[in-house]
Amino acid sequence: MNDKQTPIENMLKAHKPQADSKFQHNLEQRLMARLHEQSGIQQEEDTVMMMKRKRNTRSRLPLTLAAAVLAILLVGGLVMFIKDTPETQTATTNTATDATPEAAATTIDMIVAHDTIAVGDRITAYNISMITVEADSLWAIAANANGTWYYSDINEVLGRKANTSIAPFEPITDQNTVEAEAEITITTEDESGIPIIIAAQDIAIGETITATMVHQVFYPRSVASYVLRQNGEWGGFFGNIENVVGKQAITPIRALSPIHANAVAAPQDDFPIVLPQGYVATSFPLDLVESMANAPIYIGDTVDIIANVQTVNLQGDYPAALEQYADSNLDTQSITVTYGAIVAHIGYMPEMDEDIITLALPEAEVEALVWVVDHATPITFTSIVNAEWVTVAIPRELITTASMRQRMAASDTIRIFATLQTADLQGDYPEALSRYVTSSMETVQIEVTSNALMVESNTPSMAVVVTPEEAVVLSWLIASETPMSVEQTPVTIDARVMPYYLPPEQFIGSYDSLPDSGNVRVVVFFSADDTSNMSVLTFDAFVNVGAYTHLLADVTYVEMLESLRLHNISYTYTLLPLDNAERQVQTSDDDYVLVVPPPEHALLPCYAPREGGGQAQVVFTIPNYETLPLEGIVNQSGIGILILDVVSLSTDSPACRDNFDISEGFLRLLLSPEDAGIFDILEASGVEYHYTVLPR
Amino acid sequence: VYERLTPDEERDLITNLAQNPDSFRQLYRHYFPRIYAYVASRVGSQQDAEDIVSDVFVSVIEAITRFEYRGTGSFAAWLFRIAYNEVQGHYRHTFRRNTVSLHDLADMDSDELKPDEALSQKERFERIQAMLATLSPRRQEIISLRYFGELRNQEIADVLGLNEKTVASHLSRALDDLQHKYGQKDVQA
Repeated sequence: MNDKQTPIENMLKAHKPQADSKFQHNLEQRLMARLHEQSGIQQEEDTVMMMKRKRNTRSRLPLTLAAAVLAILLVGGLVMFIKDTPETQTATTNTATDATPEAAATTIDMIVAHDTIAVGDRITAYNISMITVEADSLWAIAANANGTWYYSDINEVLGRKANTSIAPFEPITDQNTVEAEAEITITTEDESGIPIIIAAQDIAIGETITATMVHQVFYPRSVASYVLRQNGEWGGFFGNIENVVGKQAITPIRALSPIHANAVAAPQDDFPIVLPQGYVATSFPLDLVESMANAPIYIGDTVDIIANVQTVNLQGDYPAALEQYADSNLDTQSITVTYGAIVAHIGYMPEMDEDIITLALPEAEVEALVWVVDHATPITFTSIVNAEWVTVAIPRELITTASMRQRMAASDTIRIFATLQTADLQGDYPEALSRYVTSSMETVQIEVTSNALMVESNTPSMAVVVTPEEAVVLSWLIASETPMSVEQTPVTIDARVMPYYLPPEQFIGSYDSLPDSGNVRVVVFFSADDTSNMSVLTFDAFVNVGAYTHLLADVTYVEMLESLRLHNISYTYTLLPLDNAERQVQTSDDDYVLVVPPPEHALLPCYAPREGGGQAQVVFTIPNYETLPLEGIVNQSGIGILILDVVSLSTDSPACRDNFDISEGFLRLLLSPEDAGIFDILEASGVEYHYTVLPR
Repeated sequence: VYERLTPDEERDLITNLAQNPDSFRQLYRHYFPRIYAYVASRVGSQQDAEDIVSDVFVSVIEAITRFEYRGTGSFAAWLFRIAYNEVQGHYRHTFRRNTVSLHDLADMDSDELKPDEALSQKERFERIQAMLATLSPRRQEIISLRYFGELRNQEIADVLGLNEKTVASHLSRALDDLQHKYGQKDVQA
């Protein structure tokens, strides 16, 4: 048997921890003594239990009466059913038990719910009981009515899922449960969920929605009730297919996304976004920016606008807001014209007979934007990750195949190189590339960034987070179709490195001060014994901060950390961004943290987040939340509901989009540092929870 | 002391427990090494492991009259669920503690082993712990239940409240990760 096992498996088995035999023996003696003592008491407890059972029987009288009424109502149908389909009854007795007249003279075993089983819950040995009833009892008749089969074999029900809420003592049947792998279908809102219309396919802007383009699904009431309470009926999401058919999408709607009222408009509606106070809208042709807007932009997104401005143009009549750039010695300057403009509309404008983009921005910034549109090229739109970082999507065809063979995933830190054709450096080009103008080489290999954060790597593009300055260079390189290559950023520690997970619970400080990934100084505080002073261990490492703090550090320090853990020496740690890192994240309140909730906790089978971002809320349902040291959990019908705002979400699962299967993929959420801390605590606490994501 | 039980023997012992408390002795001897190995692999310290294992079995005998035998594997899943809960409780408690004495280190050595063997075992165990620590907590848990608790995938699924396929997927990936990271040659060294 061992021949089939891998060396890793053999090694694990060979190094199984063994107990001290004295300890085993002593514990056995203590347990047996206690068990014998207990068995004397047990007889008294049995008597008490008997009395309790009698009381319980009385308290369930209304239930029994209800079963009786049900049975009386249904018994006619049952008799008809038995008469009509005797073959069916016989054929299915191996998986479920029927109350055929032949069985009426005996007792039968029936599996019933031990406690309330919620929709979607698996049937396990812990939430069911076996009861024995007379085969012709009301329970048996009621359970078997209308072709419903109850179960008497425990092995047949284990692993099935409840598709409706099952009350205590309610028989487990083939109607109220489904196979483990089956999709749960809920038939009425009152029973189990709130109907929500989702897109059955990707829907493009301007497309008129037909019935075949949408699905009706049912969100668990525990999740949907929050939405109801917050925003009125359905929380703005459509519940009936009829109400959405005929409307036009005013934002791209991904397959499987719930369709919100703000995502569609009646054909006569022309401007669905309500502008914030003090904002005005301005439009210009989409083709002016389309070639540079490499990251996907959607209605409602917040964008920065970066333009390369030739200093020579800043003479005569130009906006006062750009005055600070007029005296520069540089020929070309990268200027962020506006931070945080809102994309109000993208699409065809009949009056202009072309596709336009409409932005809403503070009135004071409009003048500069209009001037830049007229005078500057190129203009880059960048969707905002935070104030210091922007997202750029690099078309796949520009990235050399060899470099993409590396296994890269979202949250990896990468370097980006470009093979620059010096002949391309004519006319407008980013100031950062001006040093290569005088090169005698036809092509120059340049490093565009050494510390970009990969957000998503789906065809046809690879989205990366870089600084605004790097975004300008990248955008120009993309526009000039310059080939690029990427590689994972090497850790700057010159030593053997090992990965290690640091427990979030032992982190001191605030995630505000941390980069999502980068070089940090790790400071570990521990006490060697109960009385001595605190000891401090300091070393440098490369870090990815996610649900767990993932370190790449010199093996010596990894071993030290592991040694602390193994020897059960409690420690705390903090992480300090390194000042001398090649490029540091500017710490601010706007930094966000990437978290990856476990897919097995997902409440719905799949999500289809928008590529490149999109805001959402993640709703956690936590049955046993009372012990969690977390604020913000709302009790709803006995279930804890926790809602966190998601700045951006993505998934690395093509299977999710293609087959509704998220089991192979991971949902990645960008949360605020505070919310990421809350998620860390939730995940680390070990309590049962589920989550779903509601796009906003 | 280890007594291996067949499923039928286990069933008989459990169903007769009310009449014959001594039946528990055999169950204990059958499960103790597996529970201990699982717990020790999760907490890393002998002292903590012994404390937790004691709590587990005390909980078991307090609750065993309420346990209903539901077929092969049901008792193991129930038992390991108790152990899993105790380990989780230990984590939560440990996170709130500030310091632990270094004297705990002395307890790591087993009385049964000669000093050189003990050192060797300790080192090898630490090495495994270091390897497992590179996995996500969920996969560490599954590896521990599988190879130290000797549970089948379905039993692990019951303990952790997961789908059996999810367990199999985690297990396969965890082994792949370990194999990829440490390699066959390294492992056998």
